Amino acid sequence: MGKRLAVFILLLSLVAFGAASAKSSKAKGHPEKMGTADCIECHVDVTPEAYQQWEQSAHGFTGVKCQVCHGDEKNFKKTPDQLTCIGCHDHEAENNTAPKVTCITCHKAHTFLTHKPGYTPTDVK
Amino acid sequence: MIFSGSVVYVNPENLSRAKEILKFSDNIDVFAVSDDKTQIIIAIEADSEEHIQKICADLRGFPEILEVAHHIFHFEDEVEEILAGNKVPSLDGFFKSKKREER
Amino acid sequence: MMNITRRNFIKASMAAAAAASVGVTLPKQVEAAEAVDKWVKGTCRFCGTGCGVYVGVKNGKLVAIKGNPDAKTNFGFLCVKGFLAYKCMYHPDRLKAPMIRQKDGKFKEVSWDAALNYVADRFKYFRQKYGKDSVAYYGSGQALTEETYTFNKLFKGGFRTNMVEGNPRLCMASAVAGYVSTFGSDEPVGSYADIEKSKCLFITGSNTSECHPVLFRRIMRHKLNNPDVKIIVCEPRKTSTTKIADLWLPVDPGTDLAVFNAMIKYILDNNLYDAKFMAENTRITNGKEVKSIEEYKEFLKDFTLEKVEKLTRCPAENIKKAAEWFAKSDATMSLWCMGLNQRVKGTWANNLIHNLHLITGQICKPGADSFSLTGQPNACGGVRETGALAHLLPGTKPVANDAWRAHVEKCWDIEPGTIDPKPGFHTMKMFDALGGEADSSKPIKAVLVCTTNPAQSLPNLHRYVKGMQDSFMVVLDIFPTRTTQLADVVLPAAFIYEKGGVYGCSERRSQLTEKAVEPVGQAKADIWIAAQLAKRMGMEKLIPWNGDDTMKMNEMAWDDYRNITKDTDHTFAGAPYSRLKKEKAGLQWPCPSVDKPGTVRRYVRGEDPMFEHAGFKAKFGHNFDPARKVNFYNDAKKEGKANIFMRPYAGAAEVPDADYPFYLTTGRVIEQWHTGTMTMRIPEIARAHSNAYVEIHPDDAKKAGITAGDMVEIASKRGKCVMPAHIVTGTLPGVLFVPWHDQAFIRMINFVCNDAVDEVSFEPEFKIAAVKIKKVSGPKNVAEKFIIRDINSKYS
Repeated sequence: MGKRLAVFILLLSLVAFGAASAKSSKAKGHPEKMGTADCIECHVDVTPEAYQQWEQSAHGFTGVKCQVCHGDEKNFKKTPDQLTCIGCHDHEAENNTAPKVTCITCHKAHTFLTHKPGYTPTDVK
Repeated sequence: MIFSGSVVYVNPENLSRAKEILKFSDNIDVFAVSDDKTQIIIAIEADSEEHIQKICADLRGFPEILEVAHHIFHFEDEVEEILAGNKVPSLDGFFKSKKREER
Repeated sequence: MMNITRRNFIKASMAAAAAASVGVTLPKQVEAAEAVDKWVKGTCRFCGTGCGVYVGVKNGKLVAIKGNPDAKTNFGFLCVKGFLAYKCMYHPDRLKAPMIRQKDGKFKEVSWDAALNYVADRFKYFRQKYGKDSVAYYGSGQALTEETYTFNKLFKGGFRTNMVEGNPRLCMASAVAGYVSTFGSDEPVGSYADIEKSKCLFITGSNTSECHPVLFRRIMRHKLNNPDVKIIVCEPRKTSTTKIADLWLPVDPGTDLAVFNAMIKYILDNNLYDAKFMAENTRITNGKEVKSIEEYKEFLKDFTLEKVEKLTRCPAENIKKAAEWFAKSDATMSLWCMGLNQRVKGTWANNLIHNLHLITGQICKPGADSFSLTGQPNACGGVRETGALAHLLPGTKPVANDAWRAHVEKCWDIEPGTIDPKPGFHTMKMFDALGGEADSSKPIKAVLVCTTNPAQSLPNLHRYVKGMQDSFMVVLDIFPTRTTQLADVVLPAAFIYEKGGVYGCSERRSQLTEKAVEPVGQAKADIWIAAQLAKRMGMEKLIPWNGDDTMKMNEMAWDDYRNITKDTDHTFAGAPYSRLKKEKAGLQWPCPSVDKPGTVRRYVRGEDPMFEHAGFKAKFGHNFDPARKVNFYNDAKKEGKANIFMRPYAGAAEVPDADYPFYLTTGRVIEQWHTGTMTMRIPEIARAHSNAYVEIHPDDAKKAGITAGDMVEIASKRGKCVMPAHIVTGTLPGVLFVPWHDQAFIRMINFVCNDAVDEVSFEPEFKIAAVKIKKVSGPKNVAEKFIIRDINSKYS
């Protein structure tokens, strides 16, 4: 019994290790060193399309800049989590007609204006 | 009963087809799709390890599905069963001979 | 076999873990499984918009924030500050223990008892030796209503001194003076709800998009949904607010009074005024006599479009168009902020905006209002309404008013004659009068500074630093600041979500924040500190709320305040804590009883409950002509009319000359708030605008040989700064702009700013100074995100 359990624990920890290493292989933080620069200073050049979409969006007009959703150098997220959207758009999230999909499934980053063309909900069950 | 949180990798153009395939299996729940349409987050519910292996093998059989990767397992009553002495964990994957066979 | 819900939960958790490991976002319900223990209702800590929030608590810590979708201010939206900056409350720099400065100049941590006893003893000593006016209070539009009310009561009713001021003197005093002189009572007639009903928005002296982003979002939405809505922006800078504007009126700083007068003249000359509204509800006056429209026209005869263009640099055509849009639209709303208030003629500028609304009848109807925006979350509720300025008592009524003083004395249960009828010193005079015992020319020897940072925020700082240094200064704050560097005692205060209380925003709306978590370290609610001081000075009868439950203390103070103002138009008699806890959006005064919903629009029969308020009529002898729908019932002459003040042109206290050829104007940027003590501690925010800079027009830069990034010295007669140049086309040539959040000594622009004050409101002219510039060196990286972290660091 004790031996079986030990083997099982070994098995468990191996699986856990597998999961952990999969996680840590994903680099944390912003892929580039940011120094003291503001996000926009570089991204106006490196991702001009995203910058332009943002600038013309409601977020651009109201000054919701990169770091509000994507975080800073250390806590950078390529894709902001849903809680970020809910922070301001709680009402919309609660009244979502396709509650199982994320906001950005339909509201395209970084314009957010309208529904993506040909969008299909992912939560077909 | 074993649960896994897994990621299915696909080519973006095959996404909707892959989702159809996943829908067919009662053991699979689709939770999300990455922005770039290459990763589908699923949860698999299976009777045993072997069962999960079989489900995955089946999935890999479809040309639309490139790979299935498990990121986390949850052995709910499996643990209780083993602790109660009703079940002996299979150690299939641990034997060198078996691995050699697979190669 | 486990049940379905549990199975689903496990599957969701599995998916969440898998998703997290590959960086994919999961739908809402899945995340909700691990979100927070509870959401607690509150108000945003930052600007005067008054955004409703819910703060998420997990394991006794604040871990999340979200907008309150039911709030009538923000409908669930938050700006970058509201969304991120609450996190500063867990910054390692939080002050966690009371500290007294020792002989060696270093602070030493002491117990609360020791600190409070020491402060009380010192205050007693000064009062005894130098008289009752030698100990002053300097508060803040960021302290809670209950806290400010308690300090005001302690100082005016207990210490019998009117040396009570607050930083709203630096930001809203001209708006107060404008509303009181024109309408007889402070604060706007309408509400934010008018934004969505307006057809024309006149935005002046306000960079709404950066300073009130959530209100700007409402304006932007309104404009996007209704492209026919006209938006006029009158500003020396082409700010990001002008992005959605149809018309920009560029003006030289301080000359906008001429533009407003030209608009009034154009409206009168071209019969665009509402003669009926004017006759029924207004009187034209020069402050002494009543005048006719013809006399007003004669008074304005010099304000022709051409002459005004020459004076202000604002194109005549734009003024004409603005006047027409303003007068002809179905509903025009004006919004302004510090650009009008922080001026030596701030009160007049406020009067002139009110005039535009009164002559056109663009007021007291949906979408039409003369609306002053507030910079701080509780300047209206905490300081203006509780009368925590040197010349006021609760209800925004003058301390010099015998009847009101007697009323307050009765409510406070103190001897008649206790409250001094003579106003105390306004803020600039107060700091000018502050000094050490050795200096007999300085009558104020001690000051208690609560929730504000005067050692960075006062204009012409060089003049006031010594007084703060030499006097006995007690500072209540959450972080080391420029002011704690000069303090003798530092008391660690609790953050809003660690204590709870009421904040009252720009639209007369007060909202209750519930205490969500315990304060960090030994930090204490300011109201507790006030009550403990009162107790130690033998005034526990005056401040009986001296327990340990801050929400209970807050409620007692709030009820005390409500009792005083129950028969005024500021009444919150219908807003006890029991109701405020339930109301998801707070309440707007006048709210005379619990069955009343609060007031969206004042002075209009059917909408304003004061028309039927028996107590109000009896106390102030008002009578309401039943034939009139509109009644400006606070009119001192009891005619129910508003004053149209004939205000002549007057420019800034200091205008450019040969030695100092540039206008300097200061302001804010969206991410940073005031002196940056909170916002600069948030990495995402500190990165954006991590240092002050000077905006220069390309023509001026070229002449001065300055290219982008060069280090530039900006000097006035008072002081100088050095900071990098930003070359921008948005600002008028000859006008420089600097944001004022930077704590680095070399970039603290308030050393350069002017401390000349408005002779009515005593608000200083932060917005305009004459300066010269010169290039000091090529580009240097100064984005060091400087903040004061060491409590023992020097003011340098």
